[in-house]
Parts: sequence; C-alpha cells; structure tokens
Amino acid sequence: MVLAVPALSADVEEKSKSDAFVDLDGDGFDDATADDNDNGIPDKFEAAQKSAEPAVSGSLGDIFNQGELAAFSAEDILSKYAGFCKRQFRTRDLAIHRGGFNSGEGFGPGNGIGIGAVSAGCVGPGCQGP
Amino acid sequence: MKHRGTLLAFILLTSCSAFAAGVNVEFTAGVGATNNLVNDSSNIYDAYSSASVNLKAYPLSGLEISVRGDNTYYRETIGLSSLLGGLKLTYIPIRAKSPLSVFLSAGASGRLYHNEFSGFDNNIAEAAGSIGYRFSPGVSARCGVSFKSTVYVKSDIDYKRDFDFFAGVNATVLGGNSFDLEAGLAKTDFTHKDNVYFVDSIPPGWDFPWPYRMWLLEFVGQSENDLTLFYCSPRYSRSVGFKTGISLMYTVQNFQNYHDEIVYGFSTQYLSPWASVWEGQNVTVNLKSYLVPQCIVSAGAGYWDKTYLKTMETRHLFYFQAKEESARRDWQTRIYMGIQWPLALHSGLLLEPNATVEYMKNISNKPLYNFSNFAVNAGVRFRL
Repeated sequence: MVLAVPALSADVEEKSKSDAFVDLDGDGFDDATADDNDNGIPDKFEAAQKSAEPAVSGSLGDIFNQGELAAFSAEDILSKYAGFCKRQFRTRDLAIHRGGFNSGEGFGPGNGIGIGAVSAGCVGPGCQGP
Repeated sequence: MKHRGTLLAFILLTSCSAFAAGVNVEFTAGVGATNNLVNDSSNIYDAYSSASVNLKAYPLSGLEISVRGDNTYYRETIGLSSLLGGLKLTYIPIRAKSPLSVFLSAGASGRLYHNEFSGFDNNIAEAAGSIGYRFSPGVSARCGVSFKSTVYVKSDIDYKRDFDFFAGVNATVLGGNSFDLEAGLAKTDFTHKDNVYFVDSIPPGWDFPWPYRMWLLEFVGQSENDLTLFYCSPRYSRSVGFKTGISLMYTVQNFQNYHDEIVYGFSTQYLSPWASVWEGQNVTVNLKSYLVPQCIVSAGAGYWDKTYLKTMETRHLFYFQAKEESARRDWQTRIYMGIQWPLALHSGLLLEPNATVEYMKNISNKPLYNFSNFAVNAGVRFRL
C-alpha cells in the first residue's frame, strides 16, 4: 500500500515518464535534482526561501567577493571544481560500498566525527584518511 | 601542540597561496565532547578539537588531486591527539551524461600519535576501481574492487591488508520507490596467536599440569591466515512529503573461514584494526529533511547484532584462557541527529556551520562492554 502512493513525493510529480526518479545515494531524494551552488540543498527548495527574504549572501555582504581576493579568479577555480563534482556525483554509488571490514562507518552524520569514528577503530575527527 | 598558533598561521598562509595558484581550499574546524571515549565500561569523559585543511587541484578534466592535513587534540587523553597527512588522486574519465561511469582512486596517508600511543602510528595505502552502467533511467548496476593496506610502523600488529569486491543493482519501481541491493566479499590477511604445533603433538585426553601449560605459553607463536567476509545489503528509499527523504537498510555479513583464531585484543588497544571486524546483522533507518529553511537536518537510528573475533586481552595471562572464552557479542542501538547550515556566498564560497548529537547503548556478553555513550559535536566547514 505504501509503495503504491507515489503521489506523496513531489519529485515524482515533477517527473515525466522518460525521466525516472533515481536515488543512488539512498537519501530518499531524486538524484537529478539540481544544486547549482553545490551547498547540499537542492535549488528548488532554496527558491521559495530566496523569494521570501533577502539572499543569505546578501545578509553577509558577500565579504569574499571584494578587493584583492576577487582577483584570484575564483570563478575559474570553481568551474573546474564544479565540473569534477558533476562527474563525482554520477559515481557516488561507485566510490563507497556498505559492507566489509569497515562497515558501520557510514552511519551517522557522515563527517567522520563522533561515536562512529571511535567504534570504527579510529578515534576522533578525520579518521578516514585523505 | 605547543606550536599550534604557528601551525595555524602556516596553514592559513599556505592555503591563501594555494588559492591564489588556482587550487580549491577547504577548511574544517570543530569541537566535541563524549562521556565514553573508548566505548567500554570505563566511561572516560573527554573533549576534543580538530582542524583540517584540504587542498584540491584539477589539472585535467575528471582528475582531482587532493592533499590533506589534519590535527586532532584531546583535552584529557592527550596521547590520542594525532596528526594526519595524506595525498589522494581521483580520476573519473567519463562525462556525467554517459550511461557508463568509471571511478578510479588511489591514496596514501600517515597518522602520528603522541608517545604513549605511538604503537598505533600507521601508514595507509589504498586504491579502488569501479564501474557502473545505466540500463534505463530507472535501472543501473555496478561492481568494483578496492584494496587497503595499513602498516603499523612501530607495533607488533605489523599490518592489515583488505581486499574488497562488491556488486549491486539499483531500480526504481512504482514511481518514486528506489530499491538497491548490494553484495560483496571482503578478504583480509590477519596475524593471530597460535600454538597449534604444540597442541597437535599432545595426545588427546592428556591433562598437563599448569607449569607445562605455562611452558607452552612461551612458545605461542603467530600465524597468518586469510579471513573472508560475505555481506548482502538491501536498501529501500523514497521521498516522504515534499522536503523529506527516508531510507531503510538491512545488512547481514558472515565470516566464511573463521575457526576461533585469536587476535590481539582491543579492550585496552581500542585503536586495534579488529574493533571494526565483526559478523552479524544490522538495520538502520535514516531521515534527511530540508524543512528547516536553508538547513539540512539529518537523523537516524540503527540496531546492530555483532560477534567479534576472539581476542587476547591484558587480563589473559595465558593463551588457553583466551581460547576457552567465548567471543564478544554485542547488541547495539544508536541514534543521531545533525543539522548543517550551508551559506553559499555569491562568489561561490561556502561557509557551513554544523552540529550533531549522538547516543549509543551497547549490551554485551562481556561485562566490560556494557556501556552507553553520548556525544556532541559542533564545527564549521569553509570552502574557498
């Protein structure tokens, strides 16, 4: 019964038949959802918020887009970064697997800190290597 | 740690230079506290702070070179404080729109602890390769291999080498229901304590006096075996409402060729690589939500039933004492909740404060491992 109620999902409503819902990373959201600024929040969820109030960057004054720092060609760096991220996103089900001798490390907030890091045999933040 | 200020200044200077040279820079810093640092009945409280810098360069399309430095400092158990340095190469040769995807990576890292834990100083080398194919918009399959070698440079544990193979399929059915099934084999070399040569030479039924057993102990040697683990893990995920996603995952994993061999313990050496090696099953449910404006809220709960390798602890004076004891078995419950607040600036820079709380309750057939643990963390990530 639960499976047969796709109408609950906004993602599904927005999809055409040729553009299926795909969730390779298992977070319950469609992987095709755009996130152009790569902040982890899909653009469609930010759009409503942005139209209702000033952008976050505005409230901070975009302090890093002024003066000498801007001369570092941040856009160029970020375009290379963004290009790699798109490829990396497509392979997120290839980069990790969820069993084996290090299983259990993936549970939790996923930043390598806290209890999970300790129980996995290495203590504290940054145990996962580079 | 006396030169922390100098180190911080050096990292900042290096990072600014790297940014100017066209390298992506990411900083993270955090503080945390736990009421059970080593996850046993000792209930050792500690607080820690951490800082890391990650420099990433993209010399070719699809290639990322990452250099990382990491410093962790514990307030009470200072010996656990450590420094990590590492290099990693990731190559993804095929464009995202292709139905075929290939992932290749290789890396090396080294971690240094303070003097009292320097036996756990280690160097890690790892490599992985995997391939995936999208048969249709809603159906894809994948497989891959990975290798990880951990060398304990000052310890008699010496090394641990893991090989993994996995394969999986992902399919979407009935609109927005995603099913994922993954299975794999993992193999590791392991050195275990062994007196098999002497036991074999003793006639069955003979009961030797203690002094002879003690003499035997002197000749307990070490042998090397392969340990194989098979796992299978189905997962179901879907959206619930407009801004919330949920996933339910079950994993079962079993040793294939384990015959009660004894490895070094981890009650006092919890940094041991064997702390994460177990057979059993677990089920987890995870939730992710964008309901809080501009924030990512995640939460999860999980239950584990784990049986570990037999271990020789410091309380065991003799080898046979460890041999006669049953293996450690744990029934563990964990819950966590976290919130991230990513602030994307117009120039593409990202500032992300985050905080998490976690709770773990562990019940074990060994009284030493009956414990609970509550931990809080707060940090910030900054990407230039």
